Amino acid sequence: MKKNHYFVLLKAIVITALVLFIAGAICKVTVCRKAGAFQNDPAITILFSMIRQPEALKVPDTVVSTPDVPPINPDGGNTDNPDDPEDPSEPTDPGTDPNEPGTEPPGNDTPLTPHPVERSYFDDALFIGDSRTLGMSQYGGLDNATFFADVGLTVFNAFDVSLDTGNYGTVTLSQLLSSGNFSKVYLMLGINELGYPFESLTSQYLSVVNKIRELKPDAKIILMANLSLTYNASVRTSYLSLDNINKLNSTIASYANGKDILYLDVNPIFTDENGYLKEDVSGDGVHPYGSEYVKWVEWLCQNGF
Amino acid sequence: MSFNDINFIFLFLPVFLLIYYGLPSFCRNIVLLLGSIAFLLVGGYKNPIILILPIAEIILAYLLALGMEAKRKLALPLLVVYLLGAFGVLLGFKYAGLFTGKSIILPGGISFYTFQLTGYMMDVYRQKMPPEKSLLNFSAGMLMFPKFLSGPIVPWKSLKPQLESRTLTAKKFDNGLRTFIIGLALKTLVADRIGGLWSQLGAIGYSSISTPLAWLGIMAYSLQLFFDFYGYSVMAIGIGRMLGFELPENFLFPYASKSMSDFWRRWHVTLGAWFRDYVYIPLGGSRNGKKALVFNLFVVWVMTGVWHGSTLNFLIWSMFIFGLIVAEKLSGGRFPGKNPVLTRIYMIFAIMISWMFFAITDLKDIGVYLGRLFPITGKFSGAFEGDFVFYLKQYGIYIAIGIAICLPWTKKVWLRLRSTPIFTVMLFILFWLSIYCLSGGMNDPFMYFSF
Repeated sequence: MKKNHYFVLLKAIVITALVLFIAGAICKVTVCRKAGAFQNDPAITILFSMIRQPEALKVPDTVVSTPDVPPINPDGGNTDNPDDPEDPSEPTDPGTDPNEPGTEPPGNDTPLTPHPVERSYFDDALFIGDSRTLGMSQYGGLDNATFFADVGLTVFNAFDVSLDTGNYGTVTLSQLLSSGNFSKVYLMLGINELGYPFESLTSQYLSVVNKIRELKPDAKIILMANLSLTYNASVRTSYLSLDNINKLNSTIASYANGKDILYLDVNPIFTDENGYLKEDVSGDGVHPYGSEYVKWVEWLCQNGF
Repeated sequence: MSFNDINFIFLFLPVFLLIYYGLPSFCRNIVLLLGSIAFLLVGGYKNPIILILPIAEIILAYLLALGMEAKRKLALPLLVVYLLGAFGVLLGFKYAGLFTGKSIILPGGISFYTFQLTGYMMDVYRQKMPPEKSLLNFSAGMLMFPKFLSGPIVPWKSLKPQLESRTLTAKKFDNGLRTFIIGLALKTLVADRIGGLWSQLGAIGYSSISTPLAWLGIMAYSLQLFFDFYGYSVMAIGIGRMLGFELPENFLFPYASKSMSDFWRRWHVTLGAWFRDYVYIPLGGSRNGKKALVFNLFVVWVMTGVWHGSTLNFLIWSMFIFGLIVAEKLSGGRFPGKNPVLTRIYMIFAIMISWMFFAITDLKDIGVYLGRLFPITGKFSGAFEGDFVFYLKQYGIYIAIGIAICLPWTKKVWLRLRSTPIFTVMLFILFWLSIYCLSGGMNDPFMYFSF
């Protein structure tokens, strides 16, 4: 037996590691830096991260946005298309508290306010969201509604995946919106994407809203605030903080127009006085217990449009 | 810093190995000592106690052991001083959290090096071996990073000759590397994949899961716990081998055992050996009649429960096992008997239920979970229809793989084929697959699932 066959595996690993390192370092300072992605990752795993999350490499400027949508102004107020019914930006009103359920920007003549509804109201409701929405479909007891939800669903992949929707079969979101009979579409996404550059996230969120509107021109779109997290969960990461979630939610709230794009925030029934999810509501700090979803659904029944 | 960490695998370990192999052989123990200190500092620089405490205990043990030999009359008092100090500190850290209400993190490795050092002290006291004269060898052996954080607990008798003389060969290195990769794959590709299920059940809340899912859950937890610890132990052996050491096996296919007594000779072998050599046998073991046997086992299992954790559920766990072992030992062989099928069925249920007590800290939650396993009474908030199938689809393949490879046939295959070209390719793939999975967990605080 030749002695050097004992080093074959080691050599193979070392050579591959060097190749990955060099390629990763190059990508990190070129492609990734432009998109603001993976800047904290070690060079050797950059290529893996790029394979796993290709959507993170989309540069904010090149994210698809429909021509009607003006640039996002986080301070609210947009003077370009004041009469455009699809304009989701908020007229300037710094007094709007996005954490108050059912608060609508008062700039419109007759803003819709939420009111109690029967369960049958949700017969033609579509809920789009991530694992919290999935949890609601499983434990909330609202079996007459339709759910398009999955663990890890994001604004970047919402239109790329096929999911089992029960009555409508396994379809993409486009197919579901085109063929389904929905008069209200609930959307709760964003928290999965908080690790991405904020502008990239919000711009993509907006394009999702616009695409829903395009496929379902007559439905009410109800944007839901992302659920908060417990204090213990917030200390575990940097980007998953209450501040970031609140910033995201208030940006989402600004997209509502009080007429056909509305905003709801369920957090007050689950959070403490500081805005953190109460510890006894969640096992892992970010998902409510199965038994809590019933309360969420009951709250939705009190807040229909 | 742990072994399944990108920085450890691509930064610390290569640099350490280059220095270790590059310098002449008489430097190796110094390099090992300094490297282990660096390992602890990198992982625990925010909490230097992780290094200061073991170094203090090592130096104290070194000096007191020499003192025991120099003045035999003082041997017992010196031993008692050391035991009180070492166990006092260990118990202090374990229970401080309960008394102060704050959650205090145990300094890494403390349960392991406390046992390692006290075992040494007791062997010197009983004059089973002379005290170690070389402080360098002693501290290198006690602090060495392959086994510092999670064992195996190695008796000084088997460590000493290896510290004094060991050879490095290409074959050993290659062997160690392959072993390390297998351990990494077991932890990252099996344990971490299966582990998501138990976390998700915790997030759902035990009162909202169906009975089949409850059983699937503890089966998954049993596999996750095993592959996690087993994988880490295999990594430790692999690294040790790359450094010229033969560290002992900690797991001998425990899930193939036919009785609880047998199981605990195969699970965390070095811990069981420690309790046997330093508690059970000194107390008299089984030599003084049935009552003494039961009492001695009781002491061992109370200590085992406390060693594993400071909350009450660990005592319930260890007493559950104690009960089964006593029943086995007093039954004269009738329980659980010798039938290969019945004994295995007994063990599967006994193990899964015992791990349930181990996994759940809150006693009320234990009650809820038992109610889900055996749905006679108990809190049930309602599960969603098809929850068992839903999670089986997600985790079934990993659970099936886990069950398949936790049996002895894998070791036979491994020993015969590990150096063949096919296995070389397989290990290369497993390595990078593991790194891929590790890199995915880096940014995700909730490693098992993006949400």
